[in-house]
Amino acid sequence: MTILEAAAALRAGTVSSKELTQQCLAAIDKNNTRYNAFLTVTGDFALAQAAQADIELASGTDRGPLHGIPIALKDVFSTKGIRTTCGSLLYKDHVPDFDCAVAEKLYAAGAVMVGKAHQHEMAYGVTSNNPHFGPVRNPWNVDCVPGGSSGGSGAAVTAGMAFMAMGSDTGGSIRIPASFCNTVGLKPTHGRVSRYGVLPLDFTLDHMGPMTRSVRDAAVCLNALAGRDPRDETSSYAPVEDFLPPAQVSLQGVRIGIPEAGYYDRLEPAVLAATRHTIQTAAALGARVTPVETPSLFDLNTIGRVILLSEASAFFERYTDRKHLVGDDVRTLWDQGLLLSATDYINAQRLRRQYCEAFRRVFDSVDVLITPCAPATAKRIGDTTVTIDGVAEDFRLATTRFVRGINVLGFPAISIPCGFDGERMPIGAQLIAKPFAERQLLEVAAALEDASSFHRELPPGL
Amino acid sequence: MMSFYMKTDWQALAKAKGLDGNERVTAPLEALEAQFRTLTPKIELMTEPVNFYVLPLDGDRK
Repeated sequence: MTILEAAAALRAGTVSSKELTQQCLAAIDKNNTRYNAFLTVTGDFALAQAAQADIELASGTDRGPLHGIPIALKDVFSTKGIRTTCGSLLYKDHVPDFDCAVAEKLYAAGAVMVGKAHQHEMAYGVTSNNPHFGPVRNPWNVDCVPGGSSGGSGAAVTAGMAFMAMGSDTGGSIRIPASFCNTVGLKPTHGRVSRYGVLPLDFTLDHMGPMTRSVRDAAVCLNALAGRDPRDETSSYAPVEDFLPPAQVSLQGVRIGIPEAGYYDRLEPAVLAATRHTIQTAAALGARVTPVETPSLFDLNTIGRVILLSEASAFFERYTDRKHLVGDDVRTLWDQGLLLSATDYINAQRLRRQYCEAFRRVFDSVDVLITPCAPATAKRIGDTTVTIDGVAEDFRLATTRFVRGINVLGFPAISIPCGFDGERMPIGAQLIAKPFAERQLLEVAAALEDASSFHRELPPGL
Repeated sequence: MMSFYMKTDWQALAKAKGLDGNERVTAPLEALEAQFRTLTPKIELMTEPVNFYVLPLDGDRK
């Protein structure tokens, strides 16, 4: 069931928020040992919120489509009185005395928070194979990773433990688990959703966004989340529109660009086939599909890695005396960031400006770009390399190949389910738009979703 | 465009900074540096660092 379906059922009186919440808590109770999707379950808190939602809806107070809907927050989002670990021993007993802006907005919209989703340590990785709290497991194959860093969010949504789970995305951390878990994952424009109260990984690359079971669900979540917040200096003044696509979306005349600069090289065959199918669907729906030249993806990734390593290590410096509490993979990246020079960081930010401007010009001739989200499907927990076309590649660098650069740009992007490989592991397609064009991005995504049923598929046994 | 650059001795730098400097740390940096040095000559003279971490991406402070 999607958020919009549950919202309709709530208003029809065929289900209560309490019942929806109990269903999610039962799913957590039944399967969290198996998937390890949650670090903290807030059953009593959620049931109290649900009871309040039921009272309000019965008395005619309607806060909108999220009213009474069970959701989860990745454990980077500060929650008042509720442990917020960031998947790290550094924060294992951290209990914030305030709510982050995202929690405030979701609570104001009437959402019911069932728990804090598990993740990669410090949100600094793509596997969610956490050395301290155990690996998150992919509901489509529990021997495989769910992607990361928002792996618990992806697993929770696909396993029916929450209708939506918030993720954070610094180099693909919403879109990768969305792709690996068969959910929708939206990374809005930088500045669209407040970062206030979210434990940072990287000041200029972090984005907050929803992971959901449908594109329209992501849109109604963005409706609740978007907007200026003076407590976040990067928060935008851009007007907040209604992002919900209409019931019937036409792609007639929409200009879809297929980037030529490396986005279709070295893909698993199933990923290439599924992405091509998505493009053909767009064309069949009336979109004008054309190849388009973009600045180099690999240049963007290089720029992004210099920025990420530098900024993350700057943030981590305060924990130098507790570095031994950090897992090997994150500590390796931390040390790398300490070795880069200030000159390189500044020049990366200068290059970033040039590439942002060049990419903006791409959108003079197209409305939306379509690319694969990841070059491969989810791989086994513990795998550190992936081999595609006979070339072994670091799993983290391979998995972020098509998504990291979009964080450098700050442009909005979404991953939508677009198929499965021969092992029945999910595949996602990435759609990218110009800054603050989320409405059009979501409309194109909704049209493609309406023409398929991949997002309705469930993992075995669920 | 590829310009001449002095390769960093990452292991020596790590040692000087009191870090471990094992190959897991330094090998990716060697590769990253080689890639990054192909880009820096492309920086146009008057380009300033991107500032949307201080200003919003729409550049409007109001």
